[in-house]
Amino acid sequence: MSGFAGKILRVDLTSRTLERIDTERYRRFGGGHGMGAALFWDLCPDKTIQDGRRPENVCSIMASPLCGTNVPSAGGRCEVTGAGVGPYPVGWFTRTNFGGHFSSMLKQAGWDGIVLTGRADSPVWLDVRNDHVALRDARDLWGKDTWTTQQRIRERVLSGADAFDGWWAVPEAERAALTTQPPSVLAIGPAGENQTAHGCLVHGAGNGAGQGGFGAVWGSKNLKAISVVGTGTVDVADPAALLRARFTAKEKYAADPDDPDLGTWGTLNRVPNSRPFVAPPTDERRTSACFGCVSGCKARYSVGYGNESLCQTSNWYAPFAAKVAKGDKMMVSEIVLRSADVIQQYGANSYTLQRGLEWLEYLYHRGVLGPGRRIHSELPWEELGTLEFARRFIHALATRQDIGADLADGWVQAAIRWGREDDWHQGRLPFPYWGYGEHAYDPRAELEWGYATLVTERDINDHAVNIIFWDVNIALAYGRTPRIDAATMARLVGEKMAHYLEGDPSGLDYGDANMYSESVARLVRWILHYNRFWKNSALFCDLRWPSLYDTQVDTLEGATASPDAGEQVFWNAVTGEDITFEEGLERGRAILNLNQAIWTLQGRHRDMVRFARFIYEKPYDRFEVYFPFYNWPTRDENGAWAYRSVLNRRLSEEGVERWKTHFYRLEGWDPRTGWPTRSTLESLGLAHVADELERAGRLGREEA
Amino acid sequence: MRTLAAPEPELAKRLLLGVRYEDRLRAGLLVPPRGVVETPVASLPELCSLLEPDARCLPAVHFDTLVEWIGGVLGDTELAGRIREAVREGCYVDGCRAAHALISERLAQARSCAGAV
Ligand code: SF4
Repeated sequence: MSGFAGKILRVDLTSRTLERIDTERYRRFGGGHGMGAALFWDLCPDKTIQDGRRPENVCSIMASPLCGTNVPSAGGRCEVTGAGVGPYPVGWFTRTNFGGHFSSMLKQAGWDGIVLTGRADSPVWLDVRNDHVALRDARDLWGKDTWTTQQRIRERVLSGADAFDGWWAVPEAERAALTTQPPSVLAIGPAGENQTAHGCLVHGAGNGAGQGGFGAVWGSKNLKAISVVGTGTVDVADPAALLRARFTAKEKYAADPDDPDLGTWGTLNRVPNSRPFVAPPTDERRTSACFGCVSGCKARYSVGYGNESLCQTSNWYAPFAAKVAKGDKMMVSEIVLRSADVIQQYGANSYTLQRGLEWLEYLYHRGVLGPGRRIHSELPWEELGTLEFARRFIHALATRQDIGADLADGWVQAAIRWGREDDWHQGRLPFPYWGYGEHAYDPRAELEWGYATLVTERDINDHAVNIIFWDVNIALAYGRTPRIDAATMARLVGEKMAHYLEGDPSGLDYGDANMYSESVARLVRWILHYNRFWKNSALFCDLRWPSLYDTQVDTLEGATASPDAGEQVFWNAVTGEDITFEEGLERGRAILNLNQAIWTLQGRHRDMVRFARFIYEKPYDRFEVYFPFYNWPTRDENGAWAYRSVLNRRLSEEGVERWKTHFYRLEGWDPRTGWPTRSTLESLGLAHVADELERAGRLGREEA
Repeated sequence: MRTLAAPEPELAKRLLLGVRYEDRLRAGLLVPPRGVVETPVASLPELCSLLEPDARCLPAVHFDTLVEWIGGVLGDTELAGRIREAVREGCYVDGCRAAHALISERLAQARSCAGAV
């Protein structure tokens, strides 16, 4: 079983027992999400679960065969699965993902993942040192922030060990092995302990597993942290093939660091950039990367704050801080990055906070929220934008104090509780799907983002084809001729998805006439199947993969599915399997079917699969869009491709229903209910899933 | 380039102090790969900072809305008119840069005027 460690650690927190599960049983799911979903299916005693805080929830933290190897941007991601906390209307089975050095360490310790069941009767942390595993008392860690927790655990693990000159001894089967590495720790903070929907898992300074409320899941299980240290290696089936592919990726597809092309189009070829989303606090910084990554998109700073916070976390408070800073960018940067530190320490998810806080600010200015108002809050709203406000706001959310009490189950839930449901319907609370905030890729413009989220369970956060928005619109903003014209773009992407689009790239056409078409459903299927296997199970990082086109290459073809550096080349080199790229997609399809079966048992029916009302009722126009153009490949009535605006439109209910029917049919699900059918499940080797759905009276009917 | 006429103290004060929550300019920053981060603007210093060229992000603003806001809400018709002219030519980023240059100039004037008062 090259690539795999060969075993999964099951921790039953109720009985405080540990069990070893052979990975072989779950091997076909690849790792990460696939294995997490399969373990959930097998171990969750009640799959009608609606709230991830129930003790029957099964939470997995999974690596993949590629973790701990040097497969580019795939060696250090880690997938977390289980029933979530915070989504609306149901805490669907969901997922989140984080980077750093946790999954690689897990592999080096000899484990493909950890699966948590039950609930401990008092706080514990899990101590993994190679094969030596123990649950330890965490009562004195309860109430501590994520950084202090990690530090204390590292000290505890290291203090009892034989150590000399920077080396310390980790127990192994027969003897102790030496390492210089401290344990990798994944922890929750107060937001998780108090079982709030904002709770996430944090590893290192800023590697957060944010979505899905998994901090609350751990909090409900009384699990404070997992610490892992390993001294093994990952067995690679064909190291020479792995190195060949890695060099090809570097030489053919990646940016040349000595002569970077800053206007390049593609993903693998992006010039590494470790800047936060505000001005860097100093030039004195060191790049920080997930294990084995060629990119390194995070940084640590000599000023000692903002370390490893990236993307949304390094920006969530910027619009508010801008008001206070009055044009001083360095002041914005300091407030935002220090508030990012607060978020990381409390173990809170910044993603929904930004859109949520905009709404709270609106309620404050409308005279609805504040001291003695209908929604009583004693937070210093007049100081919104200061670091002090951020501290008090995050504290309130994480500890269920002040408005934090009402927001603890989620944002849409709070809107309903406060009688402000209309704010959500009208888009004042811009949460278009499943209780998640809008990501800036509005479903009315960027169809795949909206649809892929709609038929799954969370903001999809998948940039597979979203990269087209960036490449095209930034070029147009600068008045440059697009480096790839729309027809060529459609051809290149269409070729990568040939199997799904059947030689017809019209799925890329987001024009008004094609918004609800079967071809767009085909495109979304490819994205989801890719997402479920290659990205969430094999754990290729979303910031680099897939590589659908690449202007570094003469033919403009990206590395994805290529015979020299495609995903399957890396997979086969590590695992010794011999699968095609499409076989990987087929595994993704099986995993998506398993997801859909779980959601079906949780209560999903196609009638629930709807966007928030504003997506149907209001056009996405200049009062909602700030960047004044959103161009995407479209065809005209003669079939000619061009980049055209996809703004100023809404989705029709009838159209979306039509699209859903296409999607369900293509997936082989019952279009009346959206439930998987026996024939589809059996064809994917999931007959046992069909049996359980049938017993529950929720098996889809076969179409005549 | 023609310079802007020096603002009256009252205008200078308004530009610097900013407007009420409900009168803010709807604008944002386009940050790859996060998307557009809504960043409403209340004052000229905030606007100047939003439009400042930055390799990591682009301003996200409709020029028509911008001109209407500066002329109507801030009441600086001269600046609004000059921006309207300046953004007519060139690409979007050129327009942002031209608007930024004018706003920087006005901001310096407003600050010096406020300092003098
Ligand atoms: S691109 Fe960034 S997030 Fe992705 S693997 Fe590399 S360092 Fe980690």
